[in-house]
Amino acid sequence: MPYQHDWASSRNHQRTAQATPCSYRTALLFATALWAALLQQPAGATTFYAVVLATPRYAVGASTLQSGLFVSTDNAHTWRQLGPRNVKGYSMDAVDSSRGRILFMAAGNGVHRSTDFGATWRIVTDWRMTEVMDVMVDQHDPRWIYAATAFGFWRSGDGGDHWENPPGELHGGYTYRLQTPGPGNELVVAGENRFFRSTDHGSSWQAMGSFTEPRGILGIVGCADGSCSASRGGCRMYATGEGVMVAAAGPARGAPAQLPGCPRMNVYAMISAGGASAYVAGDSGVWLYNACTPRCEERTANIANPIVHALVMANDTLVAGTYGDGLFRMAGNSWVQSGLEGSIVWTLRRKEW
Amino acid sequence: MVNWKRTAFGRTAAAARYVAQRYVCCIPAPALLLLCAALCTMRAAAQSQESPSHRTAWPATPSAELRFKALKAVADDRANFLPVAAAKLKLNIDTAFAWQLVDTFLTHPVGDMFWLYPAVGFYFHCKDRLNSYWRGRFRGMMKSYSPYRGDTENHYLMYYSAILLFSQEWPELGRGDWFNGKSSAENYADAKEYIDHWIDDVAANSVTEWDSPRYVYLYITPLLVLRDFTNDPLLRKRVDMMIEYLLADFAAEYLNGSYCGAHSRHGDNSVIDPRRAEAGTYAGFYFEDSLAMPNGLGNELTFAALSGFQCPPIIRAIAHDRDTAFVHTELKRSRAKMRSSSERYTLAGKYDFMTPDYCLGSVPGGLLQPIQQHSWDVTFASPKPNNTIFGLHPQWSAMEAGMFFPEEPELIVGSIARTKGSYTNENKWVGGSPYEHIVQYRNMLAALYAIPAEASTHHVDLFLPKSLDECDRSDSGWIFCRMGDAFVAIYPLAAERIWMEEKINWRLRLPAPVDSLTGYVVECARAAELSFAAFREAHREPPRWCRTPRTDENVLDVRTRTGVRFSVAGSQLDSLTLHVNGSAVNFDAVHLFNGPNMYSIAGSRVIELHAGNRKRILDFNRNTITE
Repeated sequence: MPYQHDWASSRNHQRTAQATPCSYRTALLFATALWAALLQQPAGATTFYAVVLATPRYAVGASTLQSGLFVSTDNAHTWRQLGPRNVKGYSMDAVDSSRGRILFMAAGNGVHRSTDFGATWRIVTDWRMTEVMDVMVDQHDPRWIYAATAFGFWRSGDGGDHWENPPGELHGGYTYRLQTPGPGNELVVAGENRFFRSTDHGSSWQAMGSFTEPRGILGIVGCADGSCSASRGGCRMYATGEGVMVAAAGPARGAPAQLPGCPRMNVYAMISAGGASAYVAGDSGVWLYNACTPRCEERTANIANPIVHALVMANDTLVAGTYGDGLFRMAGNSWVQSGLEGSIVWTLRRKEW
Repeated sequence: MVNWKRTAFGRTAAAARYVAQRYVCCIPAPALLLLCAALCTMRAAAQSQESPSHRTAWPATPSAELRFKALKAVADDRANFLPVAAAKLKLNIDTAFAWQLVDTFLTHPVGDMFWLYPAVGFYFHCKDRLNSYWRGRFRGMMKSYSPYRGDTENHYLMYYSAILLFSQEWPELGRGDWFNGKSSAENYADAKEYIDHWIDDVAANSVTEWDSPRYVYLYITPLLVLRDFTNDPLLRKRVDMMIEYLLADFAAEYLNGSYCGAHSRHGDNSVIDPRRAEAGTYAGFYFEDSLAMPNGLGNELTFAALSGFQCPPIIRAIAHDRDTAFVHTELKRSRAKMRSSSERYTLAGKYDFMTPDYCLGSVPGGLLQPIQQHSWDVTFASPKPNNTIFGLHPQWSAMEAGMFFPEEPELIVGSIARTKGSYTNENKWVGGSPYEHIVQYRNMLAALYAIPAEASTHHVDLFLPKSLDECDRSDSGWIFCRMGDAFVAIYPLAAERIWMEEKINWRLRLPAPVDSLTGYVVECARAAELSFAAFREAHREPPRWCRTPRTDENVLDVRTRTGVRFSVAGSQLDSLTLHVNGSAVNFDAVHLFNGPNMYSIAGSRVIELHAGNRKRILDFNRNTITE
């Protein structure tokens, strides 16, 4: 007995929907999201998200239930698993205006979306999308969702319902991190060794020129902002897998170089510590870098695992996500475990709403 | 009073009757057993009169008796696998334990796509035994368990074939009923589109995990289940064609139980003992019509035994047609590359020289697959264990890891080492190297290595099994090996040779100084051509070779015993060119298959199978099989 279903009409319907991103359905989705958020999340709440890749013993086929997206609403002290389970999680983003109701997670098996604060999840991509390393919501127009994958840049113009892999420079290359560095709709994508920017939602790309606010491009980070960097011509530093690329205000070019005064290490995360300082993390622990001195001071101390892949500031406390030993928070000059023991924490995000 | 159904005879008879009812006809069990015995006798008599290689008409496999033997062998197992439960239920053997296995399988799901494909195979094959409670539990798993899709071609096939069949089974399930939030309709469409894409892509360009003795069963098994239970007749036809394609691809490089030549992915154990590979189970089942379960592997045979698929006789003939030596080439491609490569897929020309006594096969080297690549070998037809000789440069690197895996390259190396322990072992026997360059012409092969300072090891290793009938080192520098009627001469292109005795083999280590050329030359022959003494006598002179490649100069020059001049020229390792009798031998990027048994032009999606005067065409454009 053949499967009774009108596949042709349902697929045609999907493709029609893709052509009109601003659909009624999408509008309804976000209106509902906004309403729910107003009801359920107090204004001004700080929410932390941790994306867990796996545990160190993980191999494909050996299920890793302690992975996916975790949330904390108590300054990264305790964590609750939101799901989806049993995935290789890489990154996440939320529609900020929904206050955590609409969540996206980038994973090895596609982009996952929740529209109910993580209670349920749906893989909104198909077989063509794999190894999604990063996902980002255009907060100015959250119909646009971007995904960096190991096989090219993808985008959705209807809140994640449908996806396309636009032609051009990033159609098939390795892409890793996404960022909207400042106001406006500029989108920055980091690839294998290059950076590109687009102002038309990824329809066309330019090799990276400059951007106004580099902070927050995790792993491809800009230096701490402030008077010092201004006096140096607005320095830009982009962490790569092989060191740190330092560039002036203009195009980010040049061979990977070490941060002055810092150890030779692979840098995975960097966040502002205020002024001209930044915390830098990688496979040799955590360091505090001052761009004015320039000098690097080690902050690894007693952290159980010197491979640190993610950083976030919880109020004035630095939280580090390690590659296999979960989260640690800085307490004075030492570190204490802060949950997710035994996990590879790939990404940490802080959201204010 | 004895309940005859509970006796061994009764169980066997019941099993035989089951198989007969499904595949032969409705006859009483005792009569079927007698029939099976008679068939066995007739087959044995027929085989004794005719050596396999001279057989002109092979029956399709598996036979009814083999189906039963396979099912029985799996049913007698106590392993904690769902195919074992399926076999037990089919044969009414140890059913309480079988249901216990099913319960455990559903209560503690683990394994992602490795969980899905036995789940779907069990469900459909045993559906007549599943009441609404059990069916409900399976259906509920699609909501409560989240199997991961994985990241390799075999993972995707297992995943999407299972998703397709389960979504076909429960078309009414909505988004909230599936672990991935897609409705049955959406899941079916996604899975169908992937499988259609995969078939078209492979028919045109080859699989990326080509010729894998380790993983080929993870292609065949889900395809068997898919062809048995899809409601789409066109898909069933195309899947049948794909199974034939994969089996023919295997058969063309099959020699007396071994999968010969280069492989995309090999196992640590099977690389040094080819008949222990997982692929041996299906080779026995389809090529030999016999039960072979090396190391207890192969409970997936349950699904093959229960499948309606039959291996066509022409593929069996391809597996056994070894009367004369022949060259067989294939165009293969790498696993998709993410980084450190200008191309998504690297094409590789695969070359085999197949004879009745040995096969010499290779790919040109470089990195085509992470971790488990096997770039060349001699495989002996001899029934002895460890019937192979091969070499490699044991290499690992963040570059290799980052080429094939998406995370931070330097972190991946550690992850791989934790799960595949041999990866960072300098004594490993599997793995490709970017510093390896291999050329082959018929029975001659040369492997050259220019290993830079940053490489993970600075030596090249050769595996020489102790099971060789003879192995000695001459004063001229040549090493002579014999196993059965196959001879191998090896000349190491190295100033230093270190012999290391290991449990089952000798390891010949050639130190590889930075910025100089290291390698070896291999020449094979058969006893039918000359005696071993004459073979040795023919190799009195060492090859001419230089340690540093220079522009337009031959880095290697060998005059073979048959008078062929085999030379390699070029200034850089990755641009070396093989010359035979002065003429350059170019890489064949035209043919997906080219040999007496298989022929296809890359991209055509038309695969021709040949054996004797028989020809079978798999046309994936028209979705037809003609013979």
